[in-house]
Amino acid sequence: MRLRLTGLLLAATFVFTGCATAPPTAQPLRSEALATQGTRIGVALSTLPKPDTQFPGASCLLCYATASAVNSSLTTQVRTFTTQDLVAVRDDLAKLLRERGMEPVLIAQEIDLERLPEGSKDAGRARRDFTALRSAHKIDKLLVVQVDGLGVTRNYSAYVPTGDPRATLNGAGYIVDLATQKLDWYLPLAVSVPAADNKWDEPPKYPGVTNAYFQALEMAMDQLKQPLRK
Amino acid sequence: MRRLGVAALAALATMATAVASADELVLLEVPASVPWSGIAGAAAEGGTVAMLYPAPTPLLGLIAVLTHGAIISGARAAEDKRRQEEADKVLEPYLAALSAWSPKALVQAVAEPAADGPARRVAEGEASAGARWRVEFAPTFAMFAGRSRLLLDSRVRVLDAAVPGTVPFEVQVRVASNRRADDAAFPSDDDAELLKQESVRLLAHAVDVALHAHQRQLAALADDTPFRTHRYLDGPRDGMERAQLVGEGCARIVLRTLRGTLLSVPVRMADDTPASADCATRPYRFPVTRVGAAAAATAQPASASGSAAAR
Repeated sequence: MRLRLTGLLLAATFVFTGCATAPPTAQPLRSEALATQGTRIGVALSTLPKPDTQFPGASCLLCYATASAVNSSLTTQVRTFTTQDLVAVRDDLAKLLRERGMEPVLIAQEIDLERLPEGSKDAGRARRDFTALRSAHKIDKLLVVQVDGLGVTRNYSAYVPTGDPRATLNGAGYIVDLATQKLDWYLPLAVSVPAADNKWDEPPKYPGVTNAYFQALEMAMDQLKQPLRK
Repeated sequence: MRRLGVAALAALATMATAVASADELVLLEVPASVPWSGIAGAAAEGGTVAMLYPAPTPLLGLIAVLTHGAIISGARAAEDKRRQEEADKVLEPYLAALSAWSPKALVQAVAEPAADGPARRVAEGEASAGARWRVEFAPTFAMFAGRSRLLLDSRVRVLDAAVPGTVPFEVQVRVASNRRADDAAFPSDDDAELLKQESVRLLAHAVDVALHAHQRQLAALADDTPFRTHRYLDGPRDGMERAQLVGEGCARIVLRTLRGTLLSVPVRMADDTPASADCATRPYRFPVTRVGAAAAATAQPASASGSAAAR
């Protein structure tokens, strides 16, 4: 019995911590990365998650259940948000790359990162192996817009909210050299926007929070585009 | 970036002078007061703090949760009050001039004869007799921290005396002022004259925007225009608003927000946009061709021949 319990604990430890890999640290765009004119660079989005609510700090099961119940109307609205605006960033980034003499290749299909082989855990290298895309699209490098989470976040202290809900987007933008899997650029994204006029509790449509959500998308896109401008 | 529908504005201005008539006299009600405040920044994001509740019984646990909630709520209210008091200090150089400036003087300045659009008068005594249109508003002005920009918020009601018993057209309007040259603060040593002039322009513009919305019967037309994220100039940085485009003025757009309110904000102009002399002298002009609901054929935004809005 004791052996079985120890085994279960070990398995749980492996599942919850063993596979966790720290994301790469921020890395400015290397000047030589876009130096060779005519370099073919793929521009792709990772699979976009569906917008949802999160309640960090509501850490016990009952706390989270309470937070979810209290904010259920907000969650219903957040789940109707579209991510369509974010798709446009692919075209905008391709345009900026073209202005810098690159040959952008739009990859229409979203990339499911979970289905790609794991990459290196070394600093300065991509966490996924994008080699397959090199031959499939005849590209030298790949610019990835990776969105890990988006929607609305409300911080909690156990059962009690410690602030108003904020629109959030987390992810990263990066360029991978597909010959070496080295990162030419890595920009972490962590956008957080309060509801318009600090008024959020407006069910059922929550216009202040909705406005903040679309602002968060725009701000994330601005952050991605800024380093690529000439 | 956008181009201004200069031709459309010119055509509308011509129409406006042609249709102004006694039947379209607009009476402006004097509000009881005109509050001023500073603009407080956004509240800081509340962090997550682990909290263990002493809960030997469910009742004590509930009391602990409620007490915790009351403490956090009280702390946040106190912080909001402190931030607003701090923001209000921006008005200190102007307080004497503004407190001596009566709401009636403000409305009288707004009612000054306009170069186009319907005639306006202050609603009082004999001037009120026989007029068909009456506008009520409750303006509040706020000043940004740099003392160079203002924000006007006002509920505006348009009442039609010709059809008693009808529900008045009512809309909330917000107008953000343009940036001043070099972002210079409004002077305070001239009895705040420039500040007063700017606030008069903003309120007159808010009335124009409300009359425009009334003319278009905006509520009925609301679904015709898609919601998009529009960009505008929020001082030195870009502001963003998810909204419908209602119309365009001089380097300025009017939006209908997700809350159903109207927002008038300055925008960046394309470098090759021809400058309009009229816009230089009247930067807040906004075409109001007539008072009252327009026929469907004329119920189009002023931007119909102008550029597309931002994403």
